[in-house]
Amino acid sequence: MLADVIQELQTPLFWVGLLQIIGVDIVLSGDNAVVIALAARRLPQVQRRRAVMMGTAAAIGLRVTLTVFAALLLDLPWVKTIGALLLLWIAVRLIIPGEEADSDSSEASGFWQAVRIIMVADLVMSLDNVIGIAAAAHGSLLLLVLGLLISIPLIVFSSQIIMRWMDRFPVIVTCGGGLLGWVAGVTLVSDPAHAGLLESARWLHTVSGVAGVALVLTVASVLKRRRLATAPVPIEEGHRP
Amino acid sequence: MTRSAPTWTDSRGCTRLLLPVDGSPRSLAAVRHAVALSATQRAPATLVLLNVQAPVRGNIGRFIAEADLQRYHGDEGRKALRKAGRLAQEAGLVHESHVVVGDVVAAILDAAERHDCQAIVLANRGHGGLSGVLLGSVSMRLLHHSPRPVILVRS
Repeated sequence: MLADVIQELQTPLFWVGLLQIIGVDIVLSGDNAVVIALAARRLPQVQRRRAVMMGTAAAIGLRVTLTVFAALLLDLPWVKTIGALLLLWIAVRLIIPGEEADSDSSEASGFWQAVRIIMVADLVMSLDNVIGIAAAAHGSLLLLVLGLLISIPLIVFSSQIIMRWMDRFPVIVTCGGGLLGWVAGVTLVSDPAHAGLLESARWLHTVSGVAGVALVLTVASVLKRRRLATAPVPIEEGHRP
Repeated sequence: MTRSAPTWTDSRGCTRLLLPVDGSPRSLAAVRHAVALSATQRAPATLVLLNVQAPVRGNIGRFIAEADLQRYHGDEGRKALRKAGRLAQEAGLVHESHVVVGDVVAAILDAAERHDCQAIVLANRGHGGLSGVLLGSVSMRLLHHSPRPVILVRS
Protein backbone atom coordinates (compact mmCIF):
# COMPACT_ATOMS: atom_id res chain seq x y z
CA MET A 1 0.00 0.00 0.00
CA LEU A 2 2.66 2.49 1.10
CA ALA A 3 4.95 1.31 -1.68
CA ASP A 4 2.16 2.01 -4.15
CA VAL A 5 1.75 5.53 -2.81
CA ILE A 6 5.49 6.21 -2.98
CA GLN A 7 5.58 4.90 -6.51
CA GLU A 8 2.66 7.10 -7.47
CA LEU A 9 4.38 10.16 -6.00
CA GLN A 10 7.18 9.67 -8.51
CA THR A 11 5.01 9.91 -11.60
CA PRO A 12 4.54 13.27 -13.33
CA LEU A 13 0.89 12.29 -13.80
CA PHE A 14 0.40 12.54 -10.04
CA TRP A 15 1.83 16.03 -9.78
CA VAL A 16 -0.12 17.32 -12.76
CA GLY A 17 -3.24 15.81 -11.20
CA LEU A 18 -2.44 17.42 -7.86
CA LEU A 19 -2.03 20.88 -9.43
CA GLN A 20 -5.33 20.43 -11.24
CA ILE A 21 -7.04 19.41 -8.02
CA ILE A 22 -5.71 22.43 -6.15
CA GLY A 23 -7.02 24.63 -8.97
CA VAL A 24 -10.43 22.95 -8.89
CA ASP A 25 -10.61 23.29 -5.11
CA ILE A 26 -9.74 26.98 -5.22
CA VAL A 27 -12.39 27.91 -7.76
CA LEU A 28 -15.11 25.57 -6.45
CA SER A 29 -14.72 25.96 -2.68
CA GLY A 30 -14.65 29.70 -2.10
CA ASP A 31 -18.32 30.32 -2.75
CA ASN A 32 -19.37 27.72 -0.19
CA ALA A 33 -17.72 29.71 2.60
CA VAL A 34 -19.28 32.92 1.32
CA VAL A 35 -22.81 31.48 1.26
CA ILE A 36 -22.36 30.30 4.84
CA ALA A 37 -21.13 33.74 5.90
CA LEU A 38 -23.90 35.60 4.05
CA ALA A 39 -26.72 33.37 5.29
CA ALA A 40 -25.60 33.83 8.88
CA ARG A 41 -24.82 37.51 8.55
CA ARG A 42 -27.87 38.99 10.25
CA LEU A 43 -28.00 36.63 13.21
CA PRO A 44 -26.86 37.80 16.62
CA GLN A 45 -23.21 36.99 17.20
CA VAL A 46 -23.59 33.79 19.27
CA GLN A 47 -26.14 32.30 16.87
CA ARG A 48 -24.08 33.40 13.93
CA ARG A 49 -21.04 31.55 15.15
CA ARG A 50 -23.15 28.46 15.78
CA ALA A 51 -24.71 28.62 12.30
CA VAL A 52 -21.31 29.06 10.65
CA MET A 53 -19.89 26.13 12.60
CA MET A 54 -22.85 23.88 11.78
CA GLY A 55 -22.73 24.89 8.15
CA THR A 56 -19.00 24.28 7.88
CA ALA A 57 -19.24 20.91 9.61
CA ALA A 58 -22.10 19.89 7.29
CA ALA A 59 -20.13 20.99 4.23
CA ILE A 60 -17.17 18.87 5.30
CA GLY A 61 -19.35 15.88 6.18
CA LEU A 62 -21.15 16.07 2.85
CA ARG A 63 -17.87 16.25 0.99
CA VAL A 64 -16.49 13.18 2.75
CA THR A 65 -19.69 11.22 2.02
CA LEU A 66 -19.87 12.31 -1.60
CA THR A 67 -16.19 11.59 -2.12
CA VAL A 68 -16.68 8.00 -0.88
CA PHE A 69 -19.60 7.63 -3.30
CA ALA A 70 -17.51 9.06 -6.11
CA ALA A 71 -14.70 6.61 -5.39
CA LEU A 72 -17.15 3.69 -5.47
CA LEU A 73 -19.07 4.78 -8.58
CA LEU A 74 -16.34 6.14 -10.79
CA ASP A 75 -15.41 2.88 -12.50
CA LEU A 76 -18.96 2.06 -13.54
CA PRO A 77 -19.71 2.69 -17.21
CA TRP A 78 -21.36 6.03 -18.10
CA VAL A 79 -20.69 7.61 -14.70
CA LYS A 80 -17.72 9.53 -16.06
CA THR A 81 -19.68 10.66 -19.09
CA ILE A 82 -22.46 12.06 -16.95
CA GLY A 83 -19.93 13.62 -14.56
CA ALA A 84 -18.07 15.23 -17.46
CA LEU A 85 -21.25 16.78 -18.85
CA LEU A 86 -22.18 18.13 -15.42
CA LEU A 87 -18.67 19.48 -15.05
CA LEU A 88 -18.94 21.39 -18.33
CA TRP A 89 -22.05 23.09 -17.01
CA ILE A 90 -20.38 23.82 -13.65
CA ALA A 91 -17.46 25.40 -15.53
CA VAL A 92 -19.73 27.67 -17.57
CA ARG A 93 -21.62 28.75 -14.46
CA LEU A 94 -18.32 29.55 -12.77
CA ILE A 95 -17.38 32.08 -15.45
CA ILE A 96 -20.67 33.89 -16.04
CA PRO A 97 -21.62 36.44 -13.36
CA GLY A 98 -24.12 35.30 -10.74
CA GLU A 99 -27.85 35.28 -11.28
CA GLU A 100 -28.73 37.77 -8.60
CA ALA A 101 -31.96 38.97 -10.11
CA ASP A 102 -34.00 35.78 -10.24
CA SER A 103 -33.17 34.39 -6.84
CA ASP A 104 -36.30 33.09 -5.19
CA SER A 105 -34.72 31.98 -1.94
CA SER A 106 -36.15 33.33 1.28
CA GLU A 107 -34.43 35.84 3.50
CA ALA A 108 -32.24 34.41 6.22
CA SER A 109 -33.99 36.06 9.11
CA GLY A 110 -33.92 33.35 11.78
CA PHE A 111 -31.41 30.80 12.98
CA TRP A 112 -33.08 27.72 11.51
CA GLN A 113 -33.80 29.48 8.27
CA ALA A 114 -30.14 30.38 7.97
CA VAL A 115 -29.16 26.79 8.75
CA ARG A 116 -31.60 25.46 6.15
CA ILE A 117 -30.20 27.77 3.46
CA ILE A 118 -26.67 26.75 4.40
CA MET A 119 -27.47 23.01 4.27
CA VAL A 120 -29.09 23.17 0.83
CA ALA A 121 -26.23 25.29 -0.48
CA ASP A 122 -23.68 22.94 1.08
CA LEU A 123 -25.21 19.97 -0.67
CA VAL A 124 -25.24 21.57 -4.12
CA MET A 125 -21.80 23.10 -3.83
CA SER A 126 -20.19 20.01 -2.33
CA LEU A 127 -21.59 18.01 -5.22
CA ASP A 128 -20.01 20.45 -7.70
CA ASN A 129 -16.73 20.27 -5.85
CA VAL A 130 -16.61 16.48 -5.57
CA ILE A 131 -17.50 16.02 -9.24
CA GLY A 132 -14.62 18.32 -10.16
CA ILE A 133 -12.15 16.60 -7.85
CA ALA A 134 -13.20 13.08 -8.80
CA ALA A 135 -12.72 13.91 -12.46
CA ALA A 136 -9.33 15.56 -11.92
CA ALA A 137 -8.18 12.61 -9.77
CA HIS A 138 -8.40 10.37 -12.89
CA GLY A 139 -9.09 7.27 -10.76
CA SER A 140 -6.33 7.81 -8.19
CA LEU A 141 -7.65 7.29 -4.67
CA LEU A 142 -4.70 9.23 -3.27
CA LEU A 143 -5.55 12.28 -5.35
CA LEU A 144 -9.23 11.99 -4.47
CA VAL A 145 -8.45 12.06 -0.76
CA LEU A 146 -5.91 14.88 -1.17
CA GLY A 147 -8.50 16.90 -3.07
CA LEU A 148 -10.92 16.44 -0.19
CA LEU A 149 -8.30 17.41 2.40
CA ILE A 150 -7.27 20.54 0.49
CA SER A 151 -10.85 21.74 0.13
CA ILE A 152 -11.52 21.65 3.89
CA PRO A 153 -9.21 24.49 5.00
CA LEU A 154 -10.47 26.47 2.00
CA ILE A 155 -14.03 26.27 3.35
CA VAL A 156 -13.07 26.86 6.94
CA PHE A 157 -10.60 29.71 6.62
CA SER A 158 -10.79 31.33 3.21
CA SER A 159 -14.18 33.01 3.67
CA GLN A 160 -14.30 35.96 1.29
CA ILE A 161 -10.65 36.18 0.34
CA ILE A 162 -10.86 33.88 -2.66
CA MET A 163 -14.02 35.56 -3.92
CA ARG A 164 -12.41 38.97 -3.65
CA TRP A 165 -9.41 37.78 -5.63
CA MET A 166 -11.73 36.42 -8.27
CA ASP A 167 -13.47 39.80 -8.54
CA ARG A 168 -10.20 41.67 -8.82
CA PHE A 169 -8.42 39.25 -11.10
CA PRO A 170 -11.09 37.78 -13.39
CA VAL A 171 -8.32 35.82 -15.13
CA ILE A 172 -8.43 33.37 -12.18
CA VAL A 173 -12.05 32.59 -13.04
CA THR A 174 -11.34 32.19 -16.73
CA CYS A 175 -8.40 29.87 -16.03
CA GLY A 176 -10.49 27.93 -13.51
CA GLY A 177 -13.31 27.51 -16.04
CA GLY A 178 -10.79 26.42 -18.69
CA LEU A 179 -9.26 23.93 -16.28
CA LEU A 180 -12.67 22.42 -15.51
CA GLY A 181 -13.36 22.25 -19.26
CA TRP A 182 -10.09 20.38 -19.83
CA VAL A 183 -10.77 17.96 -16.98
CA ALA A 184 -14.30 17.37 -18.28
CA GLY A 185 -13.05 16.66 -21.80
CA VAL A 186 -10.39 14.24 -20.62
CA THR A 187 -12.81 12.48 -18.28
CA LEU A 188 -15.39 12.08 -21.02
CA VAL A 189 -13.16 9.94 -23.23
CA SER A 190 -11.81 7.89 -20.32
CA ASP A 191 -15.24 6.47 -19.49
CA PRO A 192 -15.03 2.65 -19.46
CA ALA A 193 -18.24 2.64 -21.52
CA HIS A 194 -16.22 3.75 -24.53
CA ALA A 195 -12.93 2.10 -23.57
CA GLY A 196 -12.09 0.97 -27.08
CA LEU A 197 -12.18 4.57 -28.25
CA LEU A 198 -9.16 5.79 -26.32
CA GLU A 199 -7.21 2.61 -27.01
CA SER A 200 -7.54 3.08 -30.73
CA ALA A 201 -6.58 6.75 -30.69
CA ARG A 202 -4.47 8.17 -27.85
CA TRP A 203 -4.67 11.65 -29.33
CA LEU A 204 -8.37 11.75 -28.49
CA HIS A 205 -7.36 12.45 -24.92
CA THR A 206 -5.79 15.80 -25.84
CA VAL A 207 -8.34 16.70 -28.48
CA SER A 208 -11.25 16.09 -26.13
CA GLY A 209 -9.56 18.15 -23.40
CA VAL A 210 -8.94 21.08 -25.73
CA ALA A 211 -12.50 20.80 -27.04
CA GLY A 212 -13.74 20.98 -23.44
CA VAL A 213 -11.78 24.18 -22.81
CA ALA A 214 -12.98 25.75 -26.08
CA LEU A 215 -16.61 24.80 -25.44
CA VAL A 216 -16.64 26.24 -21.90
CA LEU A 217 -14.93 29.51 -22.84
CA THR A 218 -17.13 30.07 -25.91
CA VAL A 219 -20.44 29.34 -24.22
CA ALA A 220 -19.45 31.37 -21.15
CA SER A 221 -18.39 34.40 -23.18
CA VAL A 222 -21.66 34.40 -25.13
CA LEU A 223 -23.76 34.13 -21.97
CA LYS A 224 -21.58 36.66 -20.18
CA ARG A 225 -22.06 39.29 -22.85
CA ARG A 226 -25.79 38.90 -22.54
CA ARG A 227 -25.60 39.26 -18.75
CA LEU A 228 -23.40 42.34 -18.79
CA ALA A 229 -25.94 44.16 -20.92
CA THR A 230 -28.14 44.49 -17.84
CA ALA A 231 -27.96 47.89 -16.18
CA PRO A 232 -26.20 48.50 -12.87
CA VAL A 233 -28.50 48.22 -9.88
CA PRO A 234 -28.49 51.12 -7.42
CA ILE A 235 -28.47 49.87 -3.84
CA GLU A 236 -28.97 53.20 -2.23
CA GLU A 237 -29.07 56.83 -3.20
CA GLY A 238 -27.76 58.28 0.00
CA HIS A 239 -27.64 62.04 -0.20
CA ARG A 240 -25.85 63.81 2.57
CA PRO A 241 -25.74 67.59 2.41
CA MET B 1 -32.12 70.52 -28.96
CA THR B 2 -28.47 70.81 -29.80
CA ARG B 3 -25.77 69.52 -27.57
CA SER B 4 -24.53 72.26 -25.28
CA ALA B 5 -20.91 73.31 -25.25
CA PRO B 6 -18.62 71.55 -22.79
CA THR B 7 -18.80 73.12 -19.38
CA TRP B 8 -17.29 72.62 -15.96
CA THR B 9 -20.44 73.65 -14.11
CA ASP B 10 -24.02 72.45 -13.94
CA SER B 11 -27.07 74.70 -14.39
CA ARG B 12 -26.54 76.21 -10.95
CA GLY B 13 -22.91 77.06 -11.55
CA CYS B 14 -21.72 74.19 -9.43
CA THR B 15 -19.12 71.61 -10.42
CA ARG B 16 -20.03 68.03 -9.65
CA LEU B 17 -17.16 65.54 -9.66
CA LEU B 18 -17.78 61.81 -9.76
CA LEU B 19 -15.38 59.88 -7.56
CA PRO B 20 -15.38 56.09 -7.91
CA VAL B 21 -14.03 54.90 -4.57
CA ASP B 22 -13.19 51.32 -3.61
CA GLY B 23 -11.79 52.26 -0.22
CA SER B 24 -8.18 51.62 -1.21
CA PRO B 25 -5.48 54.18 -0.28
CA ARG B 26 -5.15 54.94 -3.99
CA SER B 27 -8.80 55.81 -4.34
CA LEU B 28 -8.53 58.09 -1.29
CA ALA B 29 -5.59 59.86 -2.91
CA ALA B 30 -7.93 60.61 -5.81
CA VAL B 31 -10.44 62.09 -3.36
CA ARG B 32 -7.72 64.35 -1.92
CA HIS B 33 -6.87 65.41 -5.43
CA ALA B 34 -10.50 66.30 -6.10
CA VAL B 35 -10.56 68.35 -2.90
CA ALA B 36 -7.51 70.27 -4.11
CA LEU B 37 -9.10 70.69 -7.52
CA SER B 38 -12.24 72.08 -5.92
CA ALA B 39 -10.19 74.80 -4.22
CA THR B 40 -9.23 76.15 -7.64
CA GLN B 41 -12.88 76.55 -8.69
CA ARG B 42 -14.96 79.67 -8.22
CA ALA B 43 -17.54 77.72 -6.22
CA PRO B 44 -16.69 74.62 -4.18
CA ALA B 45 -17.34 71.37 -6.04
CA THR B 46 -19.82 68.72 -4.96
CA LEU B 47 -18.15 65.31 -4.58
CA VAL B 48 -20.31 62.45 -5.80
CA LEU B 49 -18.81 59.39 -4.16
CA LEU B 50 -19.60 56.09 -5.85
CA ASN B 51 -18.80 52.58 -4.75
CA VAL B 52 -19.40 49.82 -7.28
CA GLN B 53 -19.91 46.36 -5.83
CA ALA B 54 -19.14 43.37 -8.01
CA PRO B 55 -22.20 41.09 -8.34
CA VAL B 56 -21.82 37.90 -6.31
CA ARG B 57 -20.65 35.09 -8.50
CA GLY B 58 -21.59 31.53 -9.24
CA ASN B 59 -23.79 29.79 -6.78
CA ILE B 60 -24.20 32.52 -4.21
CA GLY B 61 -27.15 34.26 -5.85
CA ARG B 62 -29.02 30.96 -6.02
CA PHE B 63 -29.09 30.55 -2.28
CA ILE B 64 -29.01 33.98 -0.73
CA ALA B 65 -32.17 36.08 -1.08
CA GLU B 66 -32.07 39.27 -3.14
CA ALA B 67 -32.86 41.44 -0.11
CA ASP B 68 -30.04 39.90 1.92
CA LEU B 69 -27.60 40.42 -0.93
CA GLN B 70 -28.64 44.06 -1.28
CA ARG B 71 -28.18 44.60 2.42
CA TYR B 72 -24.75 43.00 2.20
CA HIS B 73 -23.69 45.11 -0.79
CA GLY B 74 -25.03 48.23 0.93
CA ASP B 75 -23.04 47.55 4.10
CA GLU B 76 -19.85 46.76 2.19
CA GLY B 77 -20.31 49.83 -0.01
CA ARG B 78 -20.86 52.15 2.95
CA LYS B 79 -17.75 50.71 4.58
CA ALA B 80 -15.71 51.42 1.45
CA LEU B 81 -17.04 54.99 1.23
CA ARG B 82 -16.65 55.94 4.88
CA LYS B 83 -13.13 57.36 4.75
CA ALA B 84 -13.76 59.21 1.51
CA GLY B 85 -16.85 60.81 3.03
CA ARG B 86 -14.83 61.91 6.02
CA LEU B 87 -12.19 63.48 3.76
CA ALA B 88 -14.86 65.47 1.95
CA GLN B 89 -16.45 66.55 5.21
CA GLU B 90 -13.14 67.70 6.67
CA ALA B 91 -12.54 69.76 3.55
CA GLY B 92 -15.97 71.33 4.02
CA LEU B 93 -17.28 70.03 0.70
CA VAL B 94 -20.80 68.85 -0.01
CA HIS B 95 -20.81 65.17 -0.89
CA GLU B 96 -23.20 62.41 -1.86
CA SER B 97 -22.67 58.68 -1.36
CA HIS B 98 -23.94 56.09 -3.81
CA VAL B 99 -23.57 52.32 -3.86
CA VAL B 100 -24.42 50.28 -6.95
CA VAL B 101 -23.97 46.67 -8.02
CA GLY B 102 -22.77 45.86 -11.50
CA ASP B 103 -19.92 46.02 -13.98
CA VAL B 104 -17.62 48.71 -12.64
CA VAL B 105 -17.12 50.68 -15.86
CA ALA B 106 -20.77 50.54 -16.90
CA ALA B 107 -21.76 51.66 -13.40
CA ILE B 108 -19.37 54.61 -13.39
CA LEU B 109 -20.55 55.82 -16.82
CA ASP B 110 -24.16 55.40 -15.76
CA ALA B 111 -23.63 57.30 -12.50
CA ALA B 112 -21.84 60.18 -14.25
CA GLU B 113 -24.88 60.59 -16.49
CA ARG B 114 -27.51 60.06 -13.81
CA HIS B 115 -25.96 62.38 -11.24
CA ASP B 116 -25.10 65.11 -13.74
CA CYS B 117 -21.34 65.07 -13.12
CA GLN B 118 -19.01 67.21 -15.22
CA ALA B 119 -15.93 65.02 -14.79
CA ILE B 120 -14.75 61.73 -13.33
CA VAL B 121 -11.77 61.71 -11.00
CA LEU B 122 -10.20 58.37 -10.16
CA ALA B 123 -6.97 56.65 -9.26
CA ASN B 124 -5.15 55.24 -12.27
CA ARG B 125 -5.62 51.85 -10.71
CA GLY B 126 -7.47 50.70 -7.64
CA HIS B 127 -7.36 47.56 -5.57
CA GLY B 128 -7.00 45.34 -8.60
CA GLY B 129 -3.94 47.14 -9.89
CA LEU B 130 -0.73 45.30 -10.53
CA SER B 131 2.13 47.47 -9.44
CA GLY B 132 4.14 48.45 -12.47
CA VAL B 133 1.11 48.71 -14.70
CA LEU B 134 0.63 52.34 -15.63
CA LEU B 135 -3.08 52.18 -16.38
CA GLY B 136 -5.50 49.82 -14.75
CA SER B 137 -8.05 48.11 -16.97
CA VAL B 138 -10.88 50.12 -15.43
CA SER B 139 -9.30 53.49 -16.19
CA MET B 140 -8.39 52.23 -19.64
CA ARG B 141 -11.97 51.24 -20.44
CA LEU B 142 -13.32 54.46 -18.93
CA LEU B 143 -11.04 56.57 -21.11
CA HIS B 144 -12.38 54.72 -24.12
CA HIS B 145 -16.05 55.12 -23.31
CA SER B 146 -16.58 58.24 -21.22
CA PRO B 147 -18.01 61.27 -22.99
CA ARG B 148 -16.87 63.35 -19.98
CA PRO B 149 -13.32 64.27 -19.07
CA VAL B 150 -11.61 61.61 -16.98
CA ILE B 151 -8.97 62.82 -14.56
CA LEU B 152 -6.55 60.06 -13.64
CA VAL B 153 -4.66 60.51 -10.40
CA ARG B 154 -1.40 58.65 -10.31
CA SER B 155 -0.35 57.49 -6.89
